[in-house]
Amino acid sequence: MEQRPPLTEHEKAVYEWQTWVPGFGLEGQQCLKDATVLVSRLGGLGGVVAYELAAAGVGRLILAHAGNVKPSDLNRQLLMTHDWLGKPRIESAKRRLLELNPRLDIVAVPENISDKNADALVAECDVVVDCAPLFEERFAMNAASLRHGVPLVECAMYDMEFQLFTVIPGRTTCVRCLFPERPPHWRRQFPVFGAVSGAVACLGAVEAIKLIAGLGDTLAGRLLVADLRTMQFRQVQLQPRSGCECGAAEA
Amino acid sequence: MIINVHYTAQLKSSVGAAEEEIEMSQGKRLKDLVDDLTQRHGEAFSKYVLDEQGNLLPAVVICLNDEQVSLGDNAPLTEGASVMFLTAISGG
Repeated sequence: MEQRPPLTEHEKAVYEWQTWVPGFGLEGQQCLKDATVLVSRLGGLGGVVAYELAAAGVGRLILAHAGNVKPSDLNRQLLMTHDWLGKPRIESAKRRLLELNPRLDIVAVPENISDKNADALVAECDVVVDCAPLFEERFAMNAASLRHGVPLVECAMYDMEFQLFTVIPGRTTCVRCLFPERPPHWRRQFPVFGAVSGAVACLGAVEAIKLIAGLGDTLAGRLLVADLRTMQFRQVQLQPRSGCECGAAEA
Repeated sequence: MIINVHYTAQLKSSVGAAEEEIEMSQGKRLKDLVDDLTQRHGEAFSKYVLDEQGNLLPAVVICLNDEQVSLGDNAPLTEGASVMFLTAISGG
């Protein structure tokens, strides 16, 4: 993590309530300030992840999202606003995040993650939160995270369900362990409520905070599966795939 | 014995149920359950789980009693076992 200036008195006041969390304190808050997090896409998942991390006092966010705001974004993409329809999503997101936390250092990347840009962006951060819709993006981030040893939080949703897990590179199940190939039946557009994407996004943000501050137990090696239609939550113990590029099964 | 089967995401929509109880005779194993579900639900199940050769699609995760298992290991099933079929989902 980059060493940033010590917490100011103003920052101590802003984050006072969370510094009361046992095991976190001012030391944890300084860790958040020193941290850089990459959030891939700022849709229903990534927008809320970024918002929560901005609120929590993460020092720098690298945000990657291409395209302009569309009407169909607005049921769940909380960083996008009606007045920004037709304009770049990344600008709407940056504007909203700085309203919440003007101290935030934002690296705004108006493109999606790909094999071309993943290495350069992942190398700059301490944690990656993957909220991307395309498996090509997810595979690119997974590979870059493995190469640079950066933990990766995987958020996914469908209908009223979500899945969440964390990858510790080379030690726990990675994206390619779980899904070696692009799922043949997966579709770019799918049913979902904003409240569902927001729910898993908040949990993904909690994972990122825990990774940065060394707090609690993360979902490394465990998959949280939830069905909010029935409010059933399950945890699955994951098995690294033998022969996977991550090498976790052989570690 | 009764096996509790759980479906997620696109597979749940295709099969038309989030979960169901499947009665099987003692000694049956995971592959027997997959065969049973393929017969029971036809393409609604198989197209999300199996390839044209009948092998498990790489994007499907099977969990037995909340532990990820390989279909190739063909684990034995016991009374009350929980088997979950997870299909890949993503963000947006």
